[in-house]
Amino acid sequence: MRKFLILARVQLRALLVSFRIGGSRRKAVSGWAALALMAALCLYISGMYSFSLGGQLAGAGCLEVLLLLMPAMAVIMGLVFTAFAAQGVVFGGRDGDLLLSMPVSAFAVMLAKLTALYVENLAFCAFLMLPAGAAWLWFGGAGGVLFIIRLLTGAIFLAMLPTVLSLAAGFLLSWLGGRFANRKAVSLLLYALLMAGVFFLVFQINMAAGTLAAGTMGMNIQGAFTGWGIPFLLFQKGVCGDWETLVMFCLLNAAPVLLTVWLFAKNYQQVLTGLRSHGKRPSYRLGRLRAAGRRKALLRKEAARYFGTPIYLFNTGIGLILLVAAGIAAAVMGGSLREQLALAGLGEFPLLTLAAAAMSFTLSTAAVTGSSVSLEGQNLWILKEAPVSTREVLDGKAAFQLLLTVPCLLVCTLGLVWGLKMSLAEGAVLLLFALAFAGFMALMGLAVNLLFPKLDAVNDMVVVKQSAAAMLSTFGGMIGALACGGAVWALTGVVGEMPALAGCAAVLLLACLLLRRWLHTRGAERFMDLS
Amino acid sequence: MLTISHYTKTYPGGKTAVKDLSLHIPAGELCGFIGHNGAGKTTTLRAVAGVMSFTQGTITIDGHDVRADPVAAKAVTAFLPDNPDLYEFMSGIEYLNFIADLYGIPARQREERVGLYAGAFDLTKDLGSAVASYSHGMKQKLAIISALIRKPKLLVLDEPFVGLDPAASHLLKGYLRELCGAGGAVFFSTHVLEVAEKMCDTIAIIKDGQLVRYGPTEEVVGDSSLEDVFLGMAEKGAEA
Repeated sequence: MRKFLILARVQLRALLVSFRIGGSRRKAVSGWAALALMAALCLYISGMYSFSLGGQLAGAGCLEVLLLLMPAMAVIMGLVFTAFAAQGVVFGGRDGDLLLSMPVSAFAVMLAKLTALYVENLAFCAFLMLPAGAAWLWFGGAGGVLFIIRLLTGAIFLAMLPTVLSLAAGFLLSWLGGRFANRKAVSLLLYALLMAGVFFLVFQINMAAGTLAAGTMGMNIQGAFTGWGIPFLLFQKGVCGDWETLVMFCLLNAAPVLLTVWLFAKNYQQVLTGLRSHGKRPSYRLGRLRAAGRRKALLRKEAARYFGTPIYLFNTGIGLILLVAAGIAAAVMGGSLREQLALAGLGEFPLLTLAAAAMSFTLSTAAVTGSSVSLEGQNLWILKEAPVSTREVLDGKAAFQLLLTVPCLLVCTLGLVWGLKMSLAEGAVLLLFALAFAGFMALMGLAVNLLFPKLDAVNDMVVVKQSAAAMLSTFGGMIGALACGGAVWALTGVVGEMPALAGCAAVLLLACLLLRRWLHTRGAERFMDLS
Repeated sequence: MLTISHYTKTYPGGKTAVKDLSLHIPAGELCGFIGHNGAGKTTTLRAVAGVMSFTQGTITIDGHDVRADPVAAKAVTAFLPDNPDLYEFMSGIEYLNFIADLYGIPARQREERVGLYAGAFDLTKDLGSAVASYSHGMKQKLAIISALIRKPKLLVLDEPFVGLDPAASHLLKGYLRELCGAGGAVFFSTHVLEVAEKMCDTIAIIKDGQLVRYGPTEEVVGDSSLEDVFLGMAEKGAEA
């Protein structure tokens, strides 16, 4: 037990260090502040969703479905975020050799590593279940102190489910990725399948909620959760007042965790050895080599890292895929898009503003530069010793993000202009705004990353998903998108929608100029000070 | 070729890693840089390579100030850190191409040089594989090849023989001598004192951030061995 606690403390400390909590007092304060800000934003977004869904379900007379859907969402979110962590930390961490050479049981090592995963999943459960509980009470669900106790107990044990699922997924990703010569392509494919599966589940849940709210009762929600969804049914029943069911739920979640850890721990050494082995390398024959310029070389390097790091690609690329999909969908729907928006209750909204807000909010998830400097990690010396100026390096990183985002923006804008029957002038203003926001995101992400670098992460997952810079640049973008939407909304009545949006674009372009100047001066100095 | 003048490095928090270090390595010279762990060797080498910033002193390489004109200084320099962390998402040949692009090496020349050095270090057949699959020694060889293909005027190496097999070590020594013979200079740190004593023209010994001995190897070593000189200095420091 003592050894497990020592190891667990180290793993949790590593988790906190990824948020820059640790070291100097100043770093600790800024790290906690960043964590608190992210927690507040997560709770806010989750709260908005819970209350919106709760309102719909209460209106349809089935509020208890809220306590069925939100735990399912919590498990899905946890699985998405920690499957990659399991692959990197449990089966690919750099401390494996050190820990296995110690007089510590493999069971204690695995359980300690799993503790960090569990804490992350617990955070996701808290972010989703606390607002869900508040929404339940708000819309008239049976409450009281006992409900809160049952909800918290349920959430604590609910977090074990995505933990064990992500452990299995992480092992599968590691094992399958190591079986093939082209590991990059296989890893990308596996990640794509995982994300597709998650999107399918989320879509199904949203469809089900929508069907119920529309009163068509096309799907029996409760019935849909039998079989695979039994844990969520037990959670719902337990939290709503059945203590025996709650206890059964807790045992049903705790047992698989202990069993899975025991199974993996029994063969942990063999598992790790097997995952690290690789097949015979194909023999390379030197052929013709082609020369390129410095800028092209830097862009190629960024592209190689981006497309060669699945967690980086999918974490920041989903928004870009959504932009393209939205543009194509809008173009295909053609004239019926306005009718569909009216049916959804959005017909009265200024559509240009709505389109701009949606595009910018989606773009904020594509914070490629938010991790770009941190991902250099221990390789930073290569760029610093090369005969390239820091300006070229930083411009290259921003340029790469724009190379990714601008084509997607073009497709989305063209599709929306066609689908919403916008005028050419409206389309031009929308594109101008989107491009200005894209530039702002690229430069802002870089600036944030230079202010909050994380060069000593144990793996890329920590940088992309947990680093302060990655989260702040994403949430900063979201706040920027909301602020732009709010500003345009407020000014529409004064100057008109198009001038308001054009004005917002002008402000963003000014911000881009100021950010670029900062990057070329103070930012460059910060880059050179990194080590 | 390399002139370090009153170089001082103080980290945030007040720790002075290197204090008032000055030395000059002319073209054609192979200088060994030795010192105990934490003496300031890596800090100095990284500053010379332009990887680490500093505010006191000047470092010029082939007449180019590392702080005022870093791109020009780096264009004639190649640096090898003690732990060659290379881009694991690239293959060996992709990494070499990347470095060659940054240094503006034309295609024909890079083919010749890559073929020469990769063949010499027996790494050609592995160049198509991801760097992530390389052993430490293979990464070290790849980093050395990436340094040599640039034909630098100054080669800065931090413990370059760590992880190399005997054949590769012998090859590297030959190439370092060849570079000096062609008018270049080498500045490298090592803990292997026998290697430093045998191959270096000059020896610089750093202790607690300060240069305590610098000069031709024969003068520094005298009638004893470099190991005795080094250990003697360490004992004096302990007694003090």
